[in-house]
Amino acid sequence: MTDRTLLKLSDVTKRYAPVEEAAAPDVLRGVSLSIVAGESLAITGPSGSGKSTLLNIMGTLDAPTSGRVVLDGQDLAGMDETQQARLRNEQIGFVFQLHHLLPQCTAYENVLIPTLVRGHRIRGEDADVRARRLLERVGLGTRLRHRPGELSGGEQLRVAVVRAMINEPRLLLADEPTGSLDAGSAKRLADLLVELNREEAITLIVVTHSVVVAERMQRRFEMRDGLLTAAGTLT
Amino acid sequence: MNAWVLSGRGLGFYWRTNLAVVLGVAVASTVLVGALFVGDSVRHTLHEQARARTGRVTFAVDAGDRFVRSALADRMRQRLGNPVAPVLRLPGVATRPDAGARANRIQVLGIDEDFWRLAPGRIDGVDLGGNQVALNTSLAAQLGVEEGGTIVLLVEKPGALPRDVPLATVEDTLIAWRLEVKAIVSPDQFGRFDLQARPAASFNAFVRRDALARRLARPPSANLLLVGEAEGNVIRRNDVEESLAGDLTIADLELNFRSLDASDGIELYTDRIFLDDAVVRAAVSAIPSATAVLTYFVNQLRLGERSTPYSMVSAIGQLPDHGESMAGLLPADMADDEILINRWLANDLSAVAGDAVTLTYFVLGPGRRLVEQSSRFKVRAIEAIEGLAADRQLMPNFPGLSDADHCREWEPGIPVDLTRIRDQDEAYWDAYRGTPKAFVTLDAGRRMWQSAYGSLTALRFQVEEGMERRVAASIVAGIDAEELGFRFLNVRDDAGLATAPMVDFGQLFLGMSFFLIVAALLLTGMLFVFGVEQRRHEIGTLRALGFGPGRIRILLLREGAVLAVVGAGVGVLGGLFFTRVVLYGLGTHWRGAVGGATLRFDARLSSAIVGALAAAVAAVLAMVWAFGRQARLPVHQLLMAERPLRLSCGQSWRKMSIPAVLGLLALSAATVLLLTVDAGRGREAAGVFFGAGGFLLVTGLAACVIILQWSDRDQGSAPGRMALGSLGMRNTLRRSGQSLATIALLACGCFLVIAINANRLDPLAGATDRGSGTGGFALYGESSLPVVRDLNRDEDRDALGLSAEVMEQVTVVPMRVRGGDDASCLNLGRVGRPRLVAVDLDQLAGREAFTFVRTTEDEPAAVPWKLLACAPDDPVVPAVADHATVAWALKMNLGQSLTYVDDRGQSFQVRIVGELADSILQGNLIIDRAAFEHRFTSQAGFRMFLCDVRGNRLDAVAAELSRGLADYGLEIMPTTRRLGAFLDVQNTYLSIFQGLGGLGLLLGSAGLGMVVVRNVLERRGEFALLRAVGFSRAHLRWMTFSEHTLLLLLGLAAGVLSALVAVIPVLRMPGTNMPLGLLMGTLLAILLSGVAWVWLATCAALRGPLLVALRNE
Repeated sequence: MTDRTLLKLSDVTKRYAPVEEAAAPDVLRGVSLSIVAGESLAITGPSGSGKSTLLNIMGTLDAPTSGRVVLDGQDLAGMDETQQARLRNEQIGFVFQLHHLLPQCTAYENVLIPTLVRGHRIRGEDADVRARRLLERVGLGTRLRHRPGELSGGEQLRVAVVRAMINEPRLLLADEPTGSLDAGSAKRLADLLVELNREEAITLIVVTHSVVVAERMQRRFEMRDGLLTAAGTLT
Repeated sequence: MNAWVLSGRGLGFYWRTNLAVVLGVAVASTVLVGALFVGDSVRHTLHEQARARTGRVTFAVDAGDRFVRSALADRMRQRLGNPVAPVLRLPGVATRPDAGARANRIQVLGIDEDFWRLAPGRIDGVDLGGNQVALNTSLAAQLGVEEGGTIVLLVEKPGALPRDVPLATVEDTLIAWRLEVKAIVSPDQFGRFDLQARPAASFNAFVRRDALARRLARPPSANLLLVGEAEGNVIRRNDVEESLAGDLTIADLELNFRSLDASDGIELYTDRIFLDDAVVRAAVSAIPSATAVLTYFVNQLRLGERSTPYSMVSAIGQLPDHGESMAGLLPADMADDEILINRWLANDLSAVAGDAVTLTYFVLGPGRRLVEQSSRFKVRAIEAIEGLAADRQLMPNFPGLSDADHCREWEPGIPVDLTRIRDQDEAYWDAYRGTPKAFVTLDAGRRMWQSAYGSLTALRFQVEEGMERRVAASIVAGIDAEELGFRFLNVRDDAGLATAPMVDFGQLFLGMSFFLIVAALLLTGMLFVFGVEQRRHEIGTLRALGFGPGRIRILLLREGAVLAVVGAGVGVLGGLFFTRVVLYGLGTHWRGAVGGATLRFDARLSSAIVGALAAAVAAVLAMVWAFGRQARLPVHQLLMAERPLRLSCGQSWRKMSIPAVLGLLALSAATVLLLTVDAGRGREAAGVFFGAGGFLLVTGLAACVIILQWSDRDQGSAPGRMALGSLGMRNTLRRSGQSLATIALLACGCFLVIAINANRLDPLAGATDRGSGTGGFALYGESSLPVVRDLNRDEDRDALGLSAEVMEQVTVVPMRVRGGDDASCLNLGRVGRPRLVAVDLDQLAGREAFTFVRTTEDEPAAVPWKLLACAPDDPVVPAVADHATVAWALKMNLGQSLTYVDDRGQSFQVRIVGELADSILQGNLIIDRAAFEHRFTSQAGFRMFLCDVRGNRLDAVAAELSRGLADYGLEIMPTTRRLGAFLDVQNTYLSIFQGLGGLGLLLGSAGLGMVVVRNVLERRGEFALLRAVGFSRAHLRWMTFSEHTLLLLLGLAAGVLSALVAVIPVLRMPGTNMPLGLLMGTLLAILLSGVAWVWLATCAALRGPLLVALRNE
């Protein structure tokens, strides 16, 4: 680990509450991982292996049963709910498989929603301008006023990516982003993510079943039975 | 883009759900605003009524039973600078000449043009001829006459003394007057003039004042002076009092001076026979040396076997001290047991000095009954009939005596056996008229004949001729008008009080709409959260994007607040409609609740704002409550496709322990209450039973929680035994808070529906019981004019032409009445001084009539009526009143007092010492008759009657009394009808409450439907699976239906069972009439409504391709 380490997980476990006499299921069994700023990383594995749980813990959407998660030198366990929300808003961007766009808002408005928490300027740039610029960059310059219901799955996903980027996060977490896309759309999304990772220096962690997407990342891990393996090696 | 835009987007996008929320709030707002508008309308109506009653009158001077000269009004007008109208006001009866219609208890108002100037509207007065009358609209309607028609007025001819005082004649007390109806005057024209607040407009007949005075054989006079408002000239009570004191003349006090024929000097006397004590004090104060005269009519003077019937005897003495009697008629050393007799009497009795003569005479006994008493005197000397001993002026103007030419024409108002009058008596009358035949000292005379009406018949002064004016001025200056029965009425203030509703109808309807409002808010909260849950992913996304739970909560509640405001605004419009509907109801089906008053619509902006704001705030609070921890769920759960069911397994025992402890505590409390209550204490026990029922309701609700938790635990621990019928039962726990809220609403609703129905009273039930609201009496009557005859005496019944056969075994309890406000629940406005009713306590105590709710005594008195007993001159007079009168009309408590002023201007306290259960005496304060008679000497006769009738002759007795006492304007009715009118108010309120509560329960059952829909939508995956493994849609419908019907049944059972305990004592009370049919119908309607909502919701929620849910998984 160097000074450029952005995210460090140390022996993270996750266990859900037991049901009567049945043993408590271990979703994560001592996961340790260190991610350098600007790195791109893919996590693959079968359904139920704990990929999404791990991603949620990284993104403060869930809490580990034990172990430490440190983001940019800050231990997430020591944060209260408000601090975590602020961290998510400022440092982390999420892209979900189901996009979770607000159906009542246009593409442009969906992108701007994260800016409502802090204000409308992002490092000196007006949020409106940045939203337009990013949407044009992902090819949605003509779809600003369209609502999610009027967009294709790929377009919705691109809006979700732009929304995740709007506050210039340091960490972008994508959970099965191509799960609902055809191969062509999945490839274009992978290109976009890689491009953003490269140009914006955003650390990218993608949970995916897609080999195509995984191969585009700098490092690849596999999750199996709550254990994370990299290049065939247990971490 | 900002938070408001985001909220706006949400409002527009989810418009269907939002519309439902708006409608929910609108229902609550409609009811809230509508209730306040109803309150506005009642206040407006009362204000209009008060304005119509009192017009521009600010003060009034009520002269009581005196008649002031009308010139007094002119003098006061000049002094005050305000209009002053003299009015001659008398009670009367009006009939059509064909006897086709009759109106009792009317006000006959002798007025002139001054009166019309005080009308509420600027109008032209009615120019009446001497034999013309103007009727107000209600009287014209009652008689069925129009302009140009003819009516006959029966008016009491005021006597010099109250009619039931000995020596006041009881014959020829009425004048009948045939009049042409010149006009029918509307309320705006002052047709509704009345100084007392009543539920309905009084019957008014306006005639020319001078014509009425002529009919009464009086000079132009008035007994009521109305002081009106004048622009820029505000007057106060003091101004009116000073004006009256400064402008009164001796004639206004019905006092006269005359020169003495038999000696020098002047005499102050009155046509009222007895000089008031206040007049005597003022006169003696003005002229220290006066000779006092008390001349009395004695039945007999006896010496041995010889007697002289019906003679005048004078008591004479010097005031203020004993001294030499005027002109030395009585020796200075004459003792109080000595008597001077004139020569004629001495001859008639063969009496000589030293003989003992016995005087027999009538005096006023208890209840103003005549009691014959005797006194013995020793003959001091025998006087020749000359000088003062021949002074005919010593005899006052006894009505029926003074103007008779012959003794046999006497009609003195006391029983006189004219056959005892001998020829020599006639000869004496011819020669000496009423010259006294004997003289006693003033002290002796006062001891025998002094009464509440005075102790002197004249005062004589040795002043120079022509000094009367100065003497008169001195006397008037020393008199306090209130001591002579003049009453100053602050009409404007009293009317202002009457505009305050006895019951705040706004609050009343709010209370009665409570369930409707709660149900609407509950539904609103559930609809709102339903909408929020639809946006679960949105909340999760916002959380993931860095929005804190608080911020999301604010964001969504801001939308809710907008919906609440819009709904509240819609509710204002709904409130206008609601008010119209309620006013229509109060004018038709619910007329009983307002005593038949016609309410006029009024809606104030402040009420609209307050009502709408309250609805909006309540709706937002309901949303906050229902919102719960929605925004605090873990983000990953919020973002999951299915809302995860919270895990309850392993925690059931802990969850059950809280309701179990609560339920056991409530059950213990109920048991303790039921074991310790004295069930024999009637209504006092009712509160305890109601409390026990309330505790049992809590127990029932706790049991519901336990049942639901148990079913959940059972399923969790033994999955192998799961059956279709019980598969979804635990799903009711998905929304346990809302499921329980629904159960609680239904349970409380059922509880109150039963409790309300149990309190419905039937006037016919137990009506013959002495403890019932009728007091066991069969008939209740009120007369326009006081009845001075004893309706229980055969002679009086004969005099009234009442059939002895019909009146056999009829007993009448007569009551005296001092006019005042009607403080019954039929009167919408608050009252200041209710009518005082005086009764012979023994008459009610002996019968143990009526039931006391409570008294000031800690321990219930064996005969509570005895609490009214007091010394006649006690400054605090105990009183009993109906509970409704005390609590609602007077807003008072037991032990509190009201201040009244008696006929001598003395203030005294009337202290409430007991409250009666719903009774026919409602609206009055009941006091002891002796105390009343001592205080109100001017109130003659009886005007209220309770009749015991044995056998089934009610109609015959009522008809006979109505016929016999027609001239007195007797209105007689079965006590059950009067009680029914009062109970109708309560029963109508209960009906309204039940109606509005029923609507609330319907909404509550709609809330149950909402629970169904939400549960089913959440479980679409489960249902999809069941469909996939072969269950039919009908199976699923039945499963859903059965599990939610359980909620309904639990709610009903908890409510019904606890309510049955609560109403046990009420059911045992006389007069209670629980309409079992209606009750069962209501409960059945609630059950069916609930079942229907559950079924509809089940069908609606299970519509559509369920298997899609599996693909979403």
